[in-house]
Amino acid sequence: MTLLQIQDLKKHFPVRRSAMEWLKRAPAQSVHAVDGISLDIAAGETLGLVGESGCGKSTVGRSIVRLEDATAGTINLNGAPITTLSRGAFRSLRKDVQFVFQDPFASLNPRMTVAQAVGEPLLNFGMTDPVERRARVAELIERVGLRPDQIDRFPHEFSGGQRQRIGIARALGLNPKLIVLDEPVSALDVSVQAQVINLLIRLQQEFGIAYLFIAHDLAVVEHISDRVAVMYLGKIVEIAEKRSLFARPRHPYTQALLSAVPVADTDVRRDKIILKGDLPSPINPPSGCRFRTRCPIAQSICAKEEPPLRPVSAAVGTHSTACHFAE
Amino acid sequence: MSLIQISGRADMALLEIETLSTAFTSRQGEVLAVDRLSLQVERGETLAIVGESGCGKSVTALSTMRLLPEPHGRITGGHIRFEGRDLAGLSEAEMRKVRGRDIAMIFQEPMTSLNPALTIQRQIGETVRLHMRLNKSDVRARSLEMLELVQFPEAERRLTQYPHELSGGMRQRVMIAIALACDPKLLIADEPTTALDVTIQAQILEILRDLSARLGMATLLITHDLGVVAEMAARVVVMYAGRMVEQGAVADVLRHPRHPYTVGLLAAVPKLGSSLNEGPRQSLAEIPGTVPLVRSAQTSCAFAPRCPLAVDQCRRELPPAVEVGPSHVSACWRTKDVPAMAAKLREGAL
Amino acid sequence: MNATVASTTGSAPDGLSLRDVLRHPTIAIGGSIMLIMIAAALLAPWLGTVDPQSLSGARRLKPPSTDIWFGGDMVGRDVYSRTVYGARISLMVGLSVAAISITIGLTIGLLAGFVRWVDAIVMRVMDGLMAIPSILLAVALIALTGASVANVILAITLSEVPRVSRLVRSTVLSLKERPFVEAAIVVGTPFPALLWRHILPNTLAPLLVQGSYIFAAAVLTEAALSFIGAGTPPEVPSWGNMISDGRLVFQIAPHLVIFPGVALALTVLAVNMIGDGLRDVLDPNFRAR
Repeated sequence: MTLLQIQDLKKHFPVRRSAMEWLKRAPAQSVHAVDGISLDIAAGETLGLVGESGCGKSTVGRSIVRLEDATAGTINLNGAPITTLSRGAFRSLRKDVQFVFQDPFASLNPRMTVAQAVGEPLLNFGMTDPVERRARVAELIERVGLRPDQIDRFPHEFSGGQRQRIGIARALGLNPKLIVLDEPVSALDVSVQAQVINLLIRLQQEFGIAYLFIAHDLAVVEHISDRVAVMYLGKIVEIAEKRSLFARPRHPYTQALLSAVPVADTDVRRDKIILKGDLPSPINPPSGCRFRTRCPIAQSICAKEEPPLRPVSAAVGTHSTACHFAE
Repeated sequence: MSLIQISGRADMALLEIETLSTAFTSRQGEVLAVDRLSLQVERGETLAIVGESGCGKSVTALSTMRLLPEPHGRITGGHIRFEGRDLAGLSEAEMRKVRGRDIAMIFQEPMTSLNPALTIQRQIGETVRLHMRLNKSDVRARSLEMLELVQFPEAERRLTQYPHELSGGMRQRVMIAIALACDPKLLIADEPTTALDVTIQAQILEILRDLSARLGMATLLITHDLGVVAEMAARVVVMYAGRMVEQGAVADVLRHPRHPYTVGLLAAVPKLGSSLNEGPRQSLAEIPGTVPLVRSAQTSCAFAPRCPLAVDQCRRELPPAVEVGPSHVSACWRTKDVPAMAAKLREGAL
Repeated sequence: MNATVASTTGSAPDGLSLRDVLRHPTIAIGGSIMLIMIAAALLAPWLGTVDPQSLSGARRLKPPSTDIWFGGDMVGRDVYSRTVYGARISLMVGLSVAAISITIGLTIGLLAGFVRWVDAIVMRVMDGLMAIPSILLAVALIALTGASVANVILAITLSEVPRVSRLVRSTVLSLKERPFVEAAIVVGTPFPALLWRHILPNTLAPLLVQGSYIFAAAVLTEAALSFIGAGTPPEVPSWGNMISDGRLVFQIAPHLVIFPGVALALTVLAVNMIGDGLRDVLDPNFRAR
């Protein structure tokens, strides 16, 4: 059962022109952060969204919760269109989709206690009885592995990992069907990261929540996801069931990405695909295939025609990629 | 047992840190960031210091370079010998001659380490002029040479650019170029690729490996990423709460760890390719609790509260560093039981 | 599953308690002085004063003595009583200006931070007002509306509002981008609650500091206005008026200027000290040291 459906989502951020440019009537430019993304998330599954900085993955996540308003395209949650609703009308849908932020320090109001922060979503949607709210907050806090007698403390009294758990407790309060997690463990130490990842998996098994897990760490994404989508410069270049993607990546960017990850094992010797050059500017993406400027197998067709995202042959489960030369 | 005896080397190491202790004074009192740490870096070799935040690895680097923030940070004990000279005893003027020339350092955030108001040419040139006394055209030539060394594209054209015009990877290359401008014998790299994308990280790590081989330069690499350790270093020191817990050849420490913390760290990291294993997904091994704040020289094992193997002795006495293999040292009372614990962890029984 | 031991004592946000605030030296000293002034203002009739307006030929220009503590002015009014009652005027002006300008400035700043077109238009008006020196502005307004304590308060308020609205606006703009505000939006917090729970509490700290400075500036401005005759009506016992009156006989009766002058200086100093102390105490960097 499809929970979330994104069709051809685009988000362009206008670039401010200087006075000189305005006078010269230079055309207005924009940053093509997301430039035509389509994906689905089924109930209870985890879709991992990976890519490097500037690929647009965070913007996709933020668009789903209307922290950004899409420039074009549609997003449907349970059949209801998110993008066309007014902010006010969307508010009631917020119960179904929640968000966990990257920075455990900045995502909690330093002047609110844990009880107030985790209780806020409950208060917003009608749980006005403070006793009832407090009980529910205590329950949520326990669910994420913290002690309920701590709920009257302030965020600064907790460590990074604990604050992230508090953020997760807050997201759980309304029993959402989908949680978008934007780099939820990137700011945490390795040992704490493991705690939070295990917690997320446990919660999913218990409550059947779907996750959109946005991250740049491929090993973490591989561990937690069912399917994985790889983004580059605003587009999805490959999307597949996890095993298929990691066993046999088809897109040259995915291949380079996987080979670049350092592995903590001295016996493993891989051929590293070192990409040349830097990420092109998202204001003026390359014509045709955006990856061609750094691609080891680019040909002349790549500059002329943009490769569509299409299924590959001989894969285990669904597997699509956007490359002229993928079989 | 000193490490010189352990490794059995007769010749002098390039950098020898002996029972270094560094403390910080803050509003909450004194914090001991490094507690009697000893390690050595040989000429031309890459030694990695690995640990999580707060373990003291960055502070060790700053102490070596005498770049601790004063007055609240200071070395409270031990020696730091570079080519036999004790760096801790040098005056600031003498230390300045060492910095940049003999020992160079690169940092995690190139944007804040580069002066945003100066062009690249001037920043590389500053180091060269300070230490090598070349004339203007020679300085420029040397700058270009350094940029080519770090595979900086279109070096000639971009010499006059400013840091904000460059991407993260390019800025990091510039920082490496500045560091290497005077042919240092030792490069200290503090989390040099942590802030970079993984494909850019691969580029930078390759440059560092290449340079180390070509120039015969030793590297002290500080990182939290065990994968980077495996790729870059010959030997590794694992730190926890300011102390060394395990030290040895990278292959030995990663394949046959002999300290519960090292085992825990290795087991907590998800492995690429895990999805290709048969069987259900295993949960990542957790190390419960958090890193403690150390206020004074430790008298018992700081890891004991979180250690699955901890016994009374661990909580009463500080474990010494014992040799567990050739050049492989572990500071654990129960180091003999660690391989069994690691095996159980792998089977998912813990 | 254990939680970390709290590294800061006290359960206040950022670990700040009232005791910390009161312990800061400048707040302690400034606060003590202000308490004296407030006591003078509130308890004036019972502090050994007489009617500040009563004239007495016997007291004319008498120097300070054990009967007439601060001496008498040129029409025989008791300088001590006028000084004590003068505290009422100064404190009332200071408090009113601070309270009203903060209320108005807060409203404008909030609107400007959230509504684009308000920002564009209203802030330009604020810029214009700020360009005019506050005393000139006040004088012009008094000339239009006539001299009274209420008009003085209004005039000074007008000149202080732009600064407050600037401050609030920039705080709001930076707060809007903070993840915890975005998090509140995502959990469905309606806009009014967003302002009340998240934006306002985090703008209060800089506002409090600003308020104290406005208080001090208002007290001083009122005195200056009265001094040049454009402030409170002449019979009102304000320190500015007293200094203005006493100026003419300064050579022979300096006590007419000295006592209100010292009172004025102490009050302004005390309020500034409180403001400085508050700024220190509320600055996260200061406390980290």
